[in-house]
Amino acid sequence: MELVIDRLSKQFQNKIAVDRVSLRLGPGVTGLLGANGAGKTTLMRLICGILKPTAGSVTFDGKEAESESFRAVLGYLPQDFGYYPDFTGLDFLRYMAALKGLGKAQGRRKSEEIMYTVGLKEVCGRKIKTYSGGMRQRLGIAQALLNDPKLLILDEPTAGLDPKERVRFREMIADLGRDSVVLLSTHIVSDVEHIADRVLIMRSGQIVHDGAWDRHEDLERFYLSLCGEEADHG
Amino acid sequence: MADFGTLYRFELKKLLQRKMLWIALAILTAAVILPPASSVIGKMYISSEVTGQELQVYTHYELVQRRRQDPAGLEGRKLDTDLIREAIGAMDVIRRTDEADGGGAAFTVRQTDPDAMGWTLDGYTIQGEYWDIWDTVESVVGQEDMTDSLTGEAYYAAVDADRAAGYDGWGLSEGERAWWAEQSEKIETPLTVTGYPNGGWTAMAETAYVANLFIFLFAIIALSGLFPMERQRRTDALAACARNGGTPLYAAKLLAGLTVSFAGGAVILGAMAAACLILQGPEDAATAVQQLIAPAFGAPMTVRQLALILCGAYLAASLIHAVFVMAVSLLTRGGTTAMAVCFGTMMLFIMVYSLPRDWRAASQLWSLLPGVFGNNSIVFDDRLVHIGGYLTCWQAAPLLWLAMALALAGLGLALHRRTAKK
Repeated sequence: MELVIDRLSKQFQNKIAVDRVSLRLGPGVTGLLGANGAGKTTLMRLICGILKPTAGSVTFDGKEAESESFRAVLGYLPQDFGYYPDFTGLDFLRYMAALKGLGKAQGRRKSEEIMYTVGLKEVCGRKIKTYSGGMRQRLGIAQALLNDPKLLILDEPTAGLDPKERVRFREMIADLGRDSVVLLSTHIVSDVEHIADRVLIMRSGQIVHDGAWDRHEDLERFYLSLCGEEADHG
Repeated sequence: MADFGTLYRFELKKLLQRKMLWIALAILTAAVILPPASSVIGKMYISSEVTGQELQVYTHYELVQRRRQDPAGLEGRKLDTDLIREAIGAMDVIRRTDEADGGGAAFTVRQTDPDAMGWTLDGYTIQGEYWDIWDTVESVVGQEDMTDSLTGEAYYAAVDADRAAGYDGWGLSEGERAWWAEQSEKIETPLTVTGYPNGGWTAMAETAYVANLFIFLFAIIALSGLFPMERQRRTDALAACARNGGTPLYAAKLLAGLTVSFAGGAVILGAMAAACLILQGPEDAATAVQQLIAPAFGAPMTVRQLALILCGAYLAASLIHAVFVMAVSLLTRGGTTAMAVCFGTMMLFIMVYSLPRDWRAASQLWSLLPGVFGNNSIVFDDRLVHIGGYLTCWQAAPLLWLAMALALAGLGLALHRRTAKK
């Protein structure tokens, strides 16, 4: 189980958002740190096949990012995404299950299971517009997990969560990392510190640090020393 | 196995949850009832000056119902010399009475000889039943020839001459003329008239094009946001990386859009048909289109057949309207822009209802477009489409729309795939 990113680049007009990134990620949680505008979201969208790269390639166990078989094993939580406010939480998951290619019975069963997993079982019949920000974020995670993904891309998953929910979330992500390749992007250093086995730091479209992290060291200080002013602005 | 049914159901649900759709459907359905309703709205005053009695007030609805219930004196009569001369004589009585009375309300409410007119309301004649016959004959032969020497044979000769002139005007080929001649032979002359020719079916035929525009407008309002809504709600990224986010999602959205447009079209046409038939009655079902609407039309057809052809065609057009709106929304990538483009197209169809007939191919193609079809001349475009055999415009139009729908659906799919990935 390996995600291979080979000299991946993305250029928007005059701006190079991702600049020749090469990586190999195995099972476990990998944290991706970087200031706003560093290229994290673009990199994740490239990995998911939502953006077409200017150069380079992304494969997972030999499957190309644009292929259906790649999408079948992919779970993605975008940083900033909307819902259908008049759908119930369960409806939303069943719709997403159908989008992900699950059969009717499987989609229904899986949706109910995951609502329970993310702690939304009690409110699954309520319309999403009545959900709090944290509940919506949990619903976002739930949709990413519907197809038992082998590759899970989480873009700022803890944004909008209260401290208690954040802790619960970290545990869930750590669990998922046992059987899947999880790439977690955030600009909240403590999230990465607690759950990531490996840390990537991105600046101006490039990976400026890639390595395992000793949890006794101060990641925040290290991150600031690398990203400096950019991180302050982020 | 992919669950296409669930995908379709939720796409339909997304559409049906939009309040705008229901508001538009309610307004357009109410509006399409107005043309047939307008003929029964309001009151008719019968002046005491004319009657020499107390002022009597009837609603138009009452008058229409009274007329419907009145024994149909002309029912089954042949439109021949005798009937034409009776009509001319009866209308002369009305005209003379009107002139003596100072004019102003001719052919509407006149005190006249009830026996001559055959139909009365409390002693007063309301648009004598000869009026429609007189009007049809007059439209063919001209007012100067509306004399008591006019014969049935002269009338039908004038109809034939009109028909031939029409074919010249359309620029028909010899083959087309021969085809129409074959059809014309099936029309039985002299025509057998119906006693109440101007009823609900005629109203349906006359209102159908308005309904078609309303169906188009409904599709524009309901569907122009169907694809762009994902981008506006920022749910597009979820679909773009999902296994069924490409062709299956497009197909589900397309099918949901077609369903809504077709159902909306059925509601609008159904409301229009119900209003026409309830308010003005179905008694004109067997009236030949040649009796009132188009004396020179070259094929046997009743007004009921005409109304059903138009309603069927416009129901089919609801599908092409939907595919068109969805393709435009994918092209423009914005619901409001798509709405503006589609609305502009609709206005173009209304205003440019025909191209010069000299440009035979272009003008014929234009007349078959779903927003134009029926605008200029109901279905009486005599130009035929030659595909193996000859097809009339109402047979060719749905085939053209099917081809257009397939082409637009293909274009939409390509645009959807392109939009999903930048």
